[in-house]
Formats: sequence, C-alpha cells, structure tokens
Amino acid sequence: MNTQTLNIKNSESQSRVYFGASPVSISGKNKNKEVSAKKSIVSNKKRTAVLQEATYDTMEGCLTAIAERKDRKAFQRLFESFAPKLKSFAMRNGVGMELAEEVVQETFIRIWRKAEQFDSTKASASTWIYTIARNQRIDLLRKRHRPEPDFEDPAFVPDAEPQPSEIIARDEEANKLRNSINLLSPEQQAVLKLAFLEELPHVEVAEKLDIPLGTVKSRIRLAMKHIRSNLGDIR
Amino acid sequence: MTITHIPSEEILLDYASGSLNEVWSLAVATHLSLCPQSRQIVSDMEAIGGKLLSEIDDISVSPDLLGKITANIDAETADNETAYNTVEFDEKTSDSYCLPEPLRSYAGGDVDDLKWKKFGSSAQQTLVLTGSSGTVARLLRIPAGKPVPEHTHSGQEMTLVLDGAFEDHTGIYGRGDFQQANESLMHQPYAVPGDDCICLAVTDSPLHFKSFAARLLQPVIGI
Repeated sequence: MNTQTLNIKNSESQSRVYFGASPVSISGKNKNKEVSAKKSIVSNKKRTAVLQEATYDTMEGCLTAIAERKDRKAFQRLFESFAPKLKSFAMRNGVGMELAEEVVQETFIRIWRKAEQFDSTKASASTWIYTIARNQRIDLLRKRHRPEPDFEDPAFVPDAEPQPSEIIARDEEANKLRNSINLLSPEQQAVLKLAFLEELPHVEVAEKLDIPLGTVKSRIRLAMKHIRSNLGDIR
Repeated sequence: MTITHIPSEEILLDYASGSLNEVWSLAVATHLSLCPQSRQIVSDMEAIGGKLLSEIDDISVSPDLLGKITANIDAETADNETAYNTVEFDEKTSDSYCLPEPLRSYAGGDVDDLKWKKFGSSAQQTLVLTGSSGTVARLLRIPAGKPVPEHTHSGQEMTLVLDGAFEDHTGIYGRGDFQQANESLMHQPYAVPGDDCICLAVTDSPLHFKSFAARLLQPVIGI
C-alpha cells in the first residue's frame, strides 16, 4: 500500500492533464479537459495512477488507456504486439506486402478512433482487434461492404442487462473459450483456421481439404458444441 | 416473442469469418439485430478468430509503418470538425420500425416508405439492391392468411420474417425467425391470419414455381 501511495504522489504532477478526460471525448473539443482536470477529485487521481501502472501489461489495458486518454505509449505497445500478426493475417489472403500493410494501417487507425467502443466484459483485445481487421480485409481486399447490426438503432433488440456476477463470469468465459480451442481435434482446428485466417466459406473449406461438405458442417458443429460444453458450468 | 429458428452454425461461421457475401450477410446481420442468442454464437466464433489471430506467425512490418499511422492520426486529431459516430436517430421506439438496420438503409426506408409491386396473385414485393451480383434480395408482403406461390429453389434461399408470421410444414416463423432452404425443400408457405407477413427473401437462382400459370408468368414478371 505504501508504494502505491508513493507512486500516486509521483505521478500526480506528470499525469494531471489526463485526469477527468472524458472516455468518450473524440470530437476534438479537448480544451475543456485541462479545466476539468484541475477540479478532479482525489479518488479519481488514485484510480488513474493505479491504472497507469497496470496499463501496459495487457492488451486490454492498452486499449483502455487509448480510450481514456489517447495514450500514445499504449498505442505503440499495441502496435508492436499486433502489427506483425495483422500483416500475417492480411497476407493469408494471398495479397502482397504493400496491400497487407495497408490493412494493418487502416486497422490501427480504427483501433485509435474506436477504442472507446472496446468493452472488456464482452470481448478480449485480440477478439476485438480481429473483428476490426476482418472488416478492413473485406473492405480493402475484397472491395465489398459488410452489413452489420447497429446497436444504436431503435429497432435493435438488446441483450438482457448483465448482472455484476455475470460480468465476472464473462471474463472467465472468454478465457475458458480461448483455452478450449486448444483442446479441439486437429481436424476441427484445421477447419476453423481455414475459415478465420484464410477467410474461406465452409463450402471452399471442403474443397480445399478435399472432404465432403457434410463433414465440414459436422466438424463446425462439433467444435462449437465442444466449446459450449466447456463453457457450460459458467454459463 | 422468442425467436426459435436461427441460421445454421455454418452460415453464422461464414458471417463471423467474413467470407459470406454481402447479400447473404444482409439477411444474417438483420437477423442478428433482432436475436441476442445468435449474436452470442457469433461472438463466440469471433473469439475463436481472435485466439487464432493472437497465435499467428509474425511477419515484420516496414520500419516506417508506425510513423505513417501516427501521422494519419495527428492529421485527424488536428481536424476538429471530424466527428465519428454522430448518426442521430429520431425519437422512435423499438416498435416503430418494422425494418431494423442494416436492412432499413439498404431498402431505402421503412416498410411504408417503399414502392411495392405486385408479386403473384395477392402478394407484393420490392427489390433490395446490394453489391452482390447473381443473388437477389427482395422484401415480400404476403396478405394475412394468403399463400406464397408454391415453389422450389435450384439454389439457396434465406428468409427472415420481419412482421406477421408465415407457416409451412416445417413450422411457424415470426419476427426475427430465419429460414434456410435449399433445392430439396418444396414448400407452400402461407401467411398466418392476423397481420400481413413481411419478410426478406434472398435467393441465388430464380424460383421455380410449381403451378403452370406461375411458370408461364415467371419470365414476364421477372421473379
């Protein structure tokens, strides 16, 4: 506890400008930030200081730091970890280096812009980044539009409001889900890799693996069933 | 009302991985707007994508790439007028739109804003344009209690119910329910009495009507 208090004192003067920064402020009207920063309350300072310490250890922490205070260091950290993976991901479609880097670039620009939308109770950082990269790959390489639900649409039917206990369970769930993928059979994993990394529809997965379509469908169903049964005790 | 008919896991996987083409994705995405259960399946699948991405072999990027990206971001931050996610919705309640997004934008408005044309003897249709060629999306309005002309498909068909309900030998389909059919399904759906049934139907080949009269008319009315 003592070290924590010390750290808070040390970081106060340097990071004051960040206190009170609105997590949703992306409109460019940033001049108010410093004013509200000076009025910020102690508990807020403490929270920020603790947060800054833990920030760069996890990708989720980096995304939160970008969302809350447009943290460049966190962004750089995220880039170092994910850019080489995203380039590799883009190149699985058979495109050249240059176009692949364009996918990486557009993905990171969107990570910067949309970090506020990242919700660590709903997805891990890699999952969230995957969805952005997937969309950029479709946009830039396939030159087509991907229709998606719009959760701000009044006609959108929202999820049931989660209870606090469920939020913890979802965190655990995400971990469990990631681990259970490793336990799938090599055949099931092969189907999933072709689908997600090479962006092949299940019909083409069957052609590529030279197996009947029915076999691909049953591998998908078995894989999902396996993953769900692993989640069974927390869902 | 609960949704009981959802897309198959293969179709949800193709949507989650991004390989499903635009017009089929339109049907799936519109269904997802109405169905938290299917959204959960898609999120689970996206988590698989995230996990596979985090384990992929690295390929090093050009040394100047981060610089290029931050220059882009700086230019954007300097531009105070740039605002994202500023789409404003008018004060409508969830019940007031029959067509959820993304379909409403594709169709060019809600049900009452659209131009409907006669389809068969009593139904109406309006085409929904997408970037996919060879596949047709249409909205159908089937009067309450009336049948849709009996037909088979030589390819795939996906139907998403948006209002009212239809029934065939496989069950009753209400708002948000999703039916996938292929060439093996010969069905005679009819709208359940009460409200007109409005649905989105996507097909990748012309429908084949069983009745001689409908077959004769098919080339003329372009269905």
